[in-house]
Formats: sequence, C-alpha cells, structure tokens
Amino acid sequence: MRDEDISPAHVRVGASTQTDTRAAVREATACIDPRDTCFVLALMPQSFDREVMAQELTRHMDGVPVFGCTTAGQITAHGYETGALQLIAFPREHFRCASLLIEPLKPISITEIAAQATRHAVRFQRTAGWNRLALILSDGLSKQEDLLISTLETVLDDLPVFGGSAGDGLSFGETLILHNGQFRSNVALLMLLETDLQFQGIGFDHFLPTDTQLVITDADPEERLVKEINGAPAAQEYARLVGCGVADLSPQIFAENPILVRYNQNYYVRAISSVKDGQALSFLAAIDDGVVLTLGKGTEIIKTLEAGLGVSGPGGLTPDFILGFDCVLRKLEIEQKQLGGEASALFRAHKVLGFNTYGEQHCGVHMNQTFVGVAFFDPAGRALG
Amino acid sequence: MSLVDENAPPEEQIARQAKIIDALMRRANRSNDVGVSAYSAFQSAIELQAQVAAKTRDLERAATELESVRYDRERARRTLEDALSAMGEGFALFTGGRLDICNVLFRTFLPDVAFRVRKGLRLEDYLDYMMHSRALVSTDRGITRNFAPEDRGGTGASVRSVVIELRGDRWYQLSQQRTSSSNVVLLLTEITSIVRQSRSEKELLIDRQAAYIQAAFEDMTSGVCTFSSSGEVMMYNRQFRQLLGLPFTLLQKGTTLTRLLDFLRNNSLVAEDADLRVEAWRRHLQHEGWLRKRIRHGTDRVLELQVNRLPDDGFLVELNDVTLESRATEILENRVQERTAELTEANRRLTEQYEEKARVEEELRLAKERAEAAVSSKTRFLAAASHDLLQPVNAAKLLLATLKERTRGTEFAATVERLYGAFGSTEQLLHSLLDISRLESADPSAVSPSEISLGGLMQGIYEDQSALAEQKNVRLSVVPSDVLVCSDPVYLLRSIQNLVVNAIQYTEPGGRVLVGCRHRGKKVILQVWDTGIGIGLKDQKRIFEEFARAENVALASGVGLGLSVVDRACKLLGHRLWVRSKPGVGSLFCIELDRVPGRRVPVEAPAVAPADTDLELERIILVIENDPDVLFAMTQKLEHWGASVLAAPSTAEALMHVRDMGLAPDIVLADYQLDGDDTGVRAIAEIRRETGVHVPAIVITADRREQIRRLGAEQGFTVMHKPVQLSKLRPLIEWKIRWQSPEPDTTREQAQTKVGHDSEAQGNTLGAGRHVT
Repeated sequence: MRDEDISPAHVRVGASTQTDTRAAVREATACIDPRDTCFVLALMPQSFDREVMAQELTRHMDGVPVFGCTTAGQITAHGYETGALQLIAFPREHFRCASLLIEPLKPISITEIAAQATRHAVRFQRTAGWNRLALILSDGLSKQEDLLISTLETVLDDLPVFGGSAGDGLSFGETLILHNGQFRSNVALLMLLETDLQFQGIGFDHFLPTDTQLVITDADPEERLVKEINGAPAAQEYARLVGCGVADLSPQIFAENPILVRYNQNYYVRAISSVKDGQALSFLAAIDDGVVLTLGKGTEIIKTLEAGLGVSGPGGLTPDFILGFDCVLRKLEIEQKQLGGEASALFRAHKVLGFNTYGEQHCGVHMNQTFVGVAFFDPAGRALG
Repeated sequence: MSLVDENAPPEEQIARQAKIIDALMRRANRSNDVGVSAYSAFQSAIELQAQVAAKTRDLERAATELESVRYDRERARRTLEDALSAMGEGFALFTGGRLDICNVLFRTFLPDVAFRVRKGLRLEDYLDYMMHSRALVSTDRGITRNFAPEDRGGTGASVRSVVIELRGDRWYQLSQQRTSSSNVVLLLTEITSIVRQSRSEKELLIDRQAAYIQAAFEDMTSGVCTFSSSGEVMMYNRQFRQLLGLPFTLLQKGTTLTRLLDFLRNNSLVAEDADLRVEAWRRHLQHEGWLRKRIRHGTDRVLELQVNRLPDDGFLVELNDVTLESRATEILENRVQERTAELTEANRRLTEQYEEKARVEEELRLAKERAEAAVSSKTRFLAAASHDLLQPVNAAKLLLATLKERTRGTEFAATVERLYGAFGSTEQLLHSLLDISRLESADPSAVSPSEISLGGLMQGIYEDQSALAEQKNVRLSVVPSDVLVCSDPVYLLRSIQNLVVNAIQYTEPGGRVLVGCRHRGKKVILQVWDTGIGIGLKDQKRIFEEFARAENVALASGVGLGLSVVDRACKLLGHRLWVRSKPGVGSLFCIELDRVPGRRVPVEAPAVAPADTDLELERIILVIENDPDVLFAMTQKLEHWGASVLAAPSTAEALMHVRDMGLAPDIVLADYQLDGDDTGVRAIAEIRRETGVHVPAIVITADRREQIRRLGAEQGFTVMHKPVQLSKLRPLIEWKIRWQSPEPDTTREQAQTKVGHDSEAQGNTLGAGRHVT
C-alpha cells in the first residue's frame, strides 16, 4: 500500500507506527540496506525511549550515520502521521554528506558558528558535476534559529540552506536533535550535502495581510515574548483583534490568525505558540519592541499547498521526492478544517517526506506557519538522456 | 482606523497611544544602532537578500553594458570557465609560472590549501603546498622533482603525470602539460573508481586464488599449514588439525606457532620436549631452508614433519602419518634382531657341537689308538703265542710219528693214531691263527706278489689233501692248468688249501670236490666246487667271519678259521672272493686273480717216486736246533729213517762236529732262529766256509717272512716252515743230496713240494741226532 503511495527512486524510506521502540526500529530499518546508505534522516515523536532508539538505530544501521530530531508530526508515505518513526535513507550512489554539530545554541556565538561552518564547508570535498546544499535541524525551543540561519546563510554563500526546527508534538516541552547516537537539546545540526540529483527550493505560506495593524509596545525579544500590544496586554489585545475571549486563545486560534511582519514589501509570519501568564504572547520567531505587525488572514490552505508543491524541475521534470518542513500550525489548521485527508493525498501525490516543525528556515530567514521544502529531481545527465 | 481599542476608556486609549508612540520612537531610534538581536538579524537577512538581489541586478546591468565592449573576450572566457566548470577534472593554467585560471574542482582539490589557491600563485609554491597538505596521503613519484617548472625550458608536448592518493581512499592523477613556452596546464583527474575497481578485482583474484589454494590444501592427504614470517598461522587444512588433534578454537588464522607448541606440550601430545624447540627449528630453517623430523605424537602415532621456508620468510609445515610405516619398520627390525639372535644361538650351538664332536673325535682317536695298540699287542701276542705253541706241537708230532711207527700193530696203535690226528688239528689251528695275526698286522711287506704257476700250486694242494679226501671218501680232482698268475705264493697256497680242506670237510662221503680255473679276459678265476651240504643265503656273508659256521653245520666239527683266513688273504692281495651255494646241492668258491699274459708253464708229472721211502737214508745230516725237545725229536726221526745225525744247538757246536768229523755233512738242517743273535743261515754259511763245500741246506723256521726266503735264494738253501711235514722233508733231503745243487731254484722248490705226499706212511730210521729246526 505504502509502496503504491510513494516510491522515490533515489532514496529509501522506512516507517513504522509501532509504539514499542525496538519493534519500530526493526520495522523501519527492515528495508534499508546500510551498505548502500550514505546517511539516514530519522524523524520521530517524543514518545519513544530515546536511549533505546539511539542504540537500536546505531545497531541496525551498522555504523551508517543517523541524523534526526523529534518532531511535531511526520509526513510519511501515508501523508500526515503523528506517532510514526520515519527513516529516510540517502544512498551513497547519489549523496555525500558531512555533518557539523553546532553546540551550544544558547548562548549563541555567531563568530564561532561562522568559523566552524566555513571550515566545514571548505573541507567538504567537492565532486565535479554534483550539486551542493545544506540542511539544518535545530532545537525548536532554543529561540536562536533567526541568528543561526542568518549567520549560516551569510558564511555559506554558495550553499542554499534549508531547515526545520525540531518539535515536541503540541507540548512545546523539549525538542531534541539526534547526532552520533545521542539525543541532545540546545544544539543544531548542519548537514552539508553533495548530490548528483538536481534540486529546487520551495517555500510558501497561505496568508494574506488584513487591514488590521498593531504595534508591539512592550516585549522581551530574547524570549520572543510580547507583553503588550497597542499599549494593552498582548493576549487581551490579540483576542480582541481576532474577536474572541482571552480564555478561548488556543493553538488553533493562533494557527488561523497569524501575525505578519512586513519588511521590504514582503510579509513574514510570526506565529504565536502560547499565552504566557495570561497576558503575554510567546512567539515562535523573532519580534522586537516597536515593530508594526499586521494581522494575517488565511486563504484556502489546500489550494496553496497544491500550487506550492506543483513545482517542476529543469526540462519539466517532476520531483523524485520532496523533503518537506511543514509548520505544525499548518497541520493544526488543516486538521481543524477536516482537510487532513486531502492534504495527505497531496503529499502522497507529490512524494513529500518530512515532518512538522516548530519553525522553518529558508533563504537565511527563520519563519513560521510556512512550508519549506527541497524538491529533488533525477540527475542532470539522466534527465538529458 | 485606530490601533487602540475604541471601546476602552478615553484616558486608557490616550495612555495606550502614548505607549505606541513611545515604542515606535524607541524602535526608530534603535534602527540606527549596530546590534545583534534576533530581530535585527532577521531584518538584516532580509536586507541582505534585497541587497543581493539589487547587486545581482546591478551586476547584470553592468555585464550587459560591458558585453558590447568585451564581448569576444568575455564570451571566450565564460565559455572557458563554463567548460572548466563542466569538466569532470580539476584544471589550472599557469602562465609564466603563475596561476592564471583554475576551476572549482582544482581549487578545492586540497581543502586545507584551497584558500591559498588564488590567481598569481606560483606553480612551485602550489606543488609545495600540495606536498605538505594534510589531505595528501601519498604520491607515486616526487611531485616537485617531476614538475619543477624550470627544468624544462623547451616547449614540446611533454606530459607528465603523478598518481596522488588523498584521504578517504580517493585517487587522482595529476598531469602536467606544457602547452607553450610560458603556459603550463595542470589537470587533476579523479581515478578513484578505477583504482578501487582494480583493487577489488585484485582482491577478488587473490580471494579466488586463496580459495583455490585452500581447496587444494583441503584435498591433500598430508596435513599442511603455512605460517607467516612472524610465526602466525596463515592457512591450514583439516588434515593438519586432525593429525595434531588441535581444537577448532586454537587453530585459527593468526594463532602463533608458540601457542600451538604450548598446547602440544601441555597436552603431552608430543613425546620429546626437544621436538618443540622453536628456536632450534628456526635456526635450522634459516640455515638449510628446510627441516625434516620424525616425532612421536600421543602414545602410539608417529608423524613425519617437513618444514620448508617460503619466499616471504614464512614457512610451510607438512605433516604425514607414518605410524604404519614406522611400525612395519620396527617389526622388521625386531624380526631381523630375532633372526640374528637365533642365528647367533644356532652358531653357538653348532660351535659347541663342533667342539664336542672334536672332543669326541679326539677321544675316539685316542680310543682307536688305544684299541689299535691293544689289537697290535694282541696280534703280536697271538703271533708270539702261535709261534711258541708250534714248537712243542712240532716236537710232539715228531715224537708221535716215531711212536706211531713203534706201536704199529700193537693195541696202542689206534690211540696213538688219534693222538697224532689231534695234534694235527692243533697244528692246523695254530697255523691259521698265525696267518690271521700276520694278516691283521697288515704289513705291506707281509705279502710279496710274484708270478706263480697256478697249475703247480693246485697240484701241490691235490697231493697234500688227497690223503684227507681218501680218508673221508671224497673224490678230489684238479683240472690241470698252465696259467701264470700274479699273487703271493704262500698266501695264495694257504687260501686255496683252506678252500679245499673246507670243501672236503663239508662234503659227505661219496661226494666230490673239484679244483680248477677259468679264463676271463685278463683275469683268471680259481674255482673250488663241492657237492657238500651247501650254505644258506643268509650265511654266505657270515661264513668268512672268524668262528662262523653255517647253521646246517654240526657244532662238533670244530672252529672255522679257514675261510676267515681266505677272506683276509684275498683282501690283502686284492683278489675278489665270492661264494655261490645252494643248501643240499653244493657250494662254489671263486677267487679272481690277475693273469700274467703270454707265459705258460708246462705241466710236470710228479717226479719223485714214492718208492724211495722204503730205502734207508744213509746220509750224514747235521741238525742245528736250539730247542732240545725239537732237536731230540728230529734226531729220533732222522735216525729212524736210517741217517747218521750230528745234532748241534748252535753254530759253534755244529762247527765243532764238522771239525771232529773232518768232512762236510751231506746236508744241513738248521733252525733259523738260534740262541742270541745266532741264526741257521749263519751256521750254514760258517759250515760251507769251514768245509769249503757248498753243503746243501734246509732252513726250518716258524717265521714266514719273505726276507728269509729271499735270503735262501741268495745263499742257496731251501726254507721249510714249521711244523715240518715229514712227508715232505724226506723227499726234499734226498732230492737235495742227490742233485748236490747249491743254487736255490724255484722250480726245484716247487718240485720239492710235490714229493712226500705220503710221508706219514714212511718209516723213519733217522737217529736221535742233534736236529735243528
């Protein structure tokens, strides 16, 4: 069934919905041959025993590097999943990879990160005719993605960087990165990839600005905490603007009523994660005191999704698969609107594999409530042939 | 539209608006500050994007502008760059020894020196960086030496290449090509896949060879194991493990020889500790290149170990089970030892037996010597005894003859006749004994073969034995013969005589005895026929033994020494003797003799007339005899015959008689052996010298030695053997005196033997003179 749903030619996928950690690993690794594999991307919920998970993955994959993170949901060959262990095996035939663990994220040292990333990129051997890109997985609760991605984008000047922040379901408790057989928080994992496949970046959202504007009058930028909006307590003012009571504020409300920031004629989503102390709003992206925000309004999410995923490569190729970083709030909205089935069908149709994030990174910017993806196509030589 | 909630109280609205204004002012003021905040980073990232976009637009615009000016060059360069980028190889052009252009692959070829790869970099500096790069693992040749730019001034299409290995098993070929006098092109071609493939093929090949060798090893019947130069197991076969009884876990690739040997030693699998001296092995192996040992493995197995050095200083151990072979050898050796021991023992026994035999032989020899000595002494004794016995018998017979004459016609006549016969038998026995003892002494000089007239001999026997035959009423006849044979006259005569006597004795009255001879080529066979009782087949051998008699012979007929004497004599003379007989029909005794070819002897008629016996013997006879009894008896007999007898015991007394008488006697009868060294021969010689007359003489002796007869032939006397047969003596005396013949003559002697066959019947008037025998 799954094989019918999606069958990328250039990566191997394994997934398991088993709740037992060992059984899940056994099932998910069953169709992955470590000998052919360059590295494995492992995406999973927080519910597994992480030590067992790390051990079992290392054991089953026989020394092949396994990178990964906890998520707020998985996009498997089925579409949306919440409790599945999802493994994406990148074969040696098409991929080379060099990983760099950036630690700690907080307190962040931009110069150190810049130096490390530069060195790492220079050392990463270049293969003639292959394409290079970078993936970043970061602790979704570190609140450092903005600085991190902007730094990386700056120093890795010839490498496009795509990424997602690790999630923790809808709990916002702890998000972890798997590297070198260990789960860690407060870290980011940079993966430099070289591939003979052609690729294309994707990024879209489904919001349009409204006429309603607001000004942050008191905030703690370090903590992405907005205390006052328009001079009034943030939660109260937000509730008033979206037309509900403070008590009714919930992830669903936040998902449907995002706040946008306008910069250079473009609007960027600032997603709210939760209400803090009944007054303040905690954001998932950078904010600052005195910033003028615009209240956003959702459009037809399925249509935007279908349009966004409908990319074509050089020579009109359809993607072999799309590695997707999909914001958890999008999933929330889709499920709220009973559109999960349609979305999953679209994901299957476009061979999307990935996870639901606490934030997406693309073009040096950390964003919320967007879909970021990398579409991989057949190698150039093959496409021409 | 107001930002502030219009439903709020006015003063509240004012306060909020003030806050908004304040926040916006703060924000406005802060935007000029240089700060690192998340939001500013967000902002700057967006700005950067915008700037990049703007710059790109600017660049594009500039490029468009420049395009018209530098179109050709730029296009060429772009084309070159595109081509370079599209190239799967690293490319660098050095102009005038400095880097002019290179592609990304070349620049990032060595990550740690990538930042140095800039336009203007000197070629030698780049090569130097390359040599010191951490990414570089090895090159197959010195780069700087081969690529130094100044070493080639000329252009030429000189291409050189070096293979470079980088970390991570990546391989490149670096080629240098001088395209013009000032331009040098470096090309980096990745050959990783080629190297890996050739390596994997090589490994596959090696694996295959290893598998092949392993299979070959497994098939070998001997146990084989190879060791590396450091003494570690490389390859082995099952047989090797089984032969040594090594556990699977021990015998593995990489196990050291020392461990194997320790195991063998600890488990007492090898008998001698010295066999496990690795260092000794090594030295031998180093020196000789091979090593061969036979080791005892476990309790009952023998392994042959062959170690050969391998080209890489490792060595190959080959094991063979030679238990059966060595056991067979042992058995063979044991067998050989057993055999040797048996042979030695047999040899020892033989030696012992030989020694025993030699000892027995020695004893036998001694015993024989003793026996021979005993026999010899017995023979001598017998001879002496016979000789000594004959003297009194001789005397007794002479006296009895006289007594017989005197008692004729009286009542004593029969008794005397018997007495005379008894003495005759005694005398005959003594003769036989004497013959036997003489024959037994086996003295070659005892016989003297000469030519003998067989006819004469037979005639003599006839004359001697016809009286006996008549007495027994047996007809004795002789077939005359003129043949001459070669034999000893005395023994031959005795032999034939004994055969004839024997024949007469065993022939019943009315029977017949015939003596004759037959010619058989060069041989003559003398035959004595009789019609007697015959001899059984089983007795025909025995009869020649001493005192043997045939079964059908009455015990009373006396002991038979006669045939024994014949047998011995014939053997001594080399004559063949045999007998044919049939009991109740008769017997034939044969003696085969050598004939003397050509010569014949005329058969003589008997010459002596028996009438002479009636005449008185009126002659002077000198008798010399040292035995007084014999002398008396002889004198009595001769005087009875009518002779005048001068009796003397010695030569001296005989000479005295001759001197007293003043003339020579008619004849001398002398005993050969006198007292001391006096002999009859000497007496005869003295008398002949004293008288000057060759007086006829007869020597009478019991000594039958040939030399006496020879002496007689030389000096002219006749020899008579004791006991004297009176019937022969008288005719001889008369014959000698009548013919006065001083020379001895065989014919005369033979003739002489033909006379006196009836001497017993003669009266004797010979006085009792001194009569010597």
